[in-house]
Amino acid sequence: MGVTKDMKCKHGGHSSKVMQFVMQVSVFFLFAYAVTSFVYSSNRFDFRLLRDSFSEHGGVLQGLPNEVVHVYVLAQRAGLDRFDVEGALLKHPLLSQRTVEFLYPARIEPGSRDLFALEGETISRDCRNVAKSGKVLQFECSNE
Amino acid sequence: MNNHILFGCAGINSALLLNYCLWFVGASPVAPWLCIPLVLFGFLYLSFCVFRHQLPLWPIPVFILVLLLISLSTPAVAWDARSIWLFHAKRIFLDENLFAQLDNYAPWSHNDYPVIIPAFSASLAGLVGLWNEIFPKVANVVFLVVPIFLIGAVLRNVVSIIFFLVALLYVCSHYLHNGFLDANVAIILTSIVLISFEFQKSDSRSHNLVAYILSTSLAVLCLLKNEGILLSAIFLVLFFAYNYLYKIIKISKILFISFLPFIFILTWKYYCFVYDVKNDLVGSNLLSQASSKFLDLDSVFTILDYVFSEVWVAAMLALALIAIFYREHPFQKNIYFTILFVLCYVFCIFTVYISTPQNLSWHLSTSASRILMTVNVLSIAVLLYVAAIFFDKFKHKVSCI
Repeated sequence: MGVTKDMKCKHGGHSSKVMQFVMQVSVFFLFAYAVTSFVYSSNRFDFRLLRDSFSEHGGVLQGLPNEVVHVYVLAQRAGLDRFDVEGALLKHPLLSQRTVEFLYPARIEPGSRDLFALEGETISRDCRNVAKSGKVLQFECSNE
Repeated sequence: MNNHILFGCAGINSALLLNYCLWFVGASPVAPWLCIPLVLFGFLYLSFCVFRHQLPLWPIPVFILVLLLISLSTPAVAWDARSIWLFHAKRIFLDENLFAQLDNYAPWSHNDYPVIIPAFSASLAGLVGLWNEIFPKVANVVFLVVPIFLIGAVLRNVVSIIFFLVALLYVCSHYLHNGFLDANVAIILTSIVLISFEFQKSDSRSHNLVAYILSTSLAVLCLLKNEGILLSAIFLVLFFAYNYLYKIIKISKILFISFLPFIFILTWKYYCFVYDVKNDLVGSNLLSQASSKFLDLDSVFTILDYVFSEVWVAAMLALALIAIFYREHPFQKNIYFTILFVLCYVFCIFTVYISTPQNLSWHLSTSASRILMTVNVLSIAVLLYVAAIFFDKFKHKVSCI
């Protein structure tokens, strides 16, 4: 009798196998559903970004405010390693921090000759407009 | 626990720390070409071991691949991800210097924060030879590989593993891939607590491997975020106390486990001290802030309100009830360890908030849910660990009917 009991324990009854199968299939579908819905509900998920993952500036347009991209374009064109910002580019934390991060290795330095500000903003220093990209203006200022 | 899985996890942890060490000593050109292939090989080895030796873990490689896919298909937009972690990584990559941030440029980026993940992001950028807004963010997912495999290896049961992964999607959500490190901290800490339970049953040969993994995981945790240092310290103190009570492993092994994280974090903090880069919290007048808030009961209740609304108290109560009803079971002391750990952590978090130099409501609303995520992930994992033990017993009983 003992041998029969052991064999049953080892191989399992028919009902237990069915139960295990049903449980594993249900959990598998739960997993598949949760993962799929997680993928499609992910903020800003876009399969097309996959091919940009390994290219320079990949994700820039999707991840940064337009103003910051325009500041970058102007700074690159002028080959700046120091710059200053005024107005919203300085006061708005999102624009200010993104500008500092994205323009690095160019560093923000108050009083720099090259200054960026948004169109229509008043500049506190003596500067002349030298370039424009989008709504961003580049100024050259006297260092006095 | 399966030794192949442990071996793979030890290998990946070693490669992650080696990457940090190479940047630390200035061997930056070597790091991307040595460490990233090692980590990739480690992941392939773990996936192979799953399909060869421990099939119930199959959801884990699938889950990690899905996270990688999402991470590669989303730009970096989250605030801390960009302003702290990816900015530090960019500076390390462009300056070819692990200590680039210690010049304290852009102080809002918390230049005192440790840099193990930024160093790996810099290696990823070094591998492709350019910086962009997507690829370096993958480092976060890479740091999830070892802890998730370890948790899976402890849970063993496919149903528990799937429930745990689904719970992670619910609790950690987009923090799993958006460049924040809070999910990494929560999951690594959970893996550390769960594998420490294994000391009670593994044979002494795998004890050494578990001790090594514990030590390297604690080192990684310390180098992730300042919360990681706090969590590691709480864990080591409690583990030492438990070992004193229950004689789980030799004291020399605990010293070995503590040595690596201690050395890593000490060297980083030493450099912060030398460069005079201070933490915004520690650099402020903690005592006067704490005493003024303590006297104002509104502040105390605001913090408690946040804590109780973020922590899943029901999960903690369930654990406490299981521990009370199954007094003779070996997992009882593991549950008590977990509850004690959570209480100590919540107390420390309360102390941090009560002494914050920032506006309390702003500080709580921007960080409480992320910081307390650790408690929820840990309690779910321990509940599933207990459930897996019950499930195994139930399966055995049913098969004997």
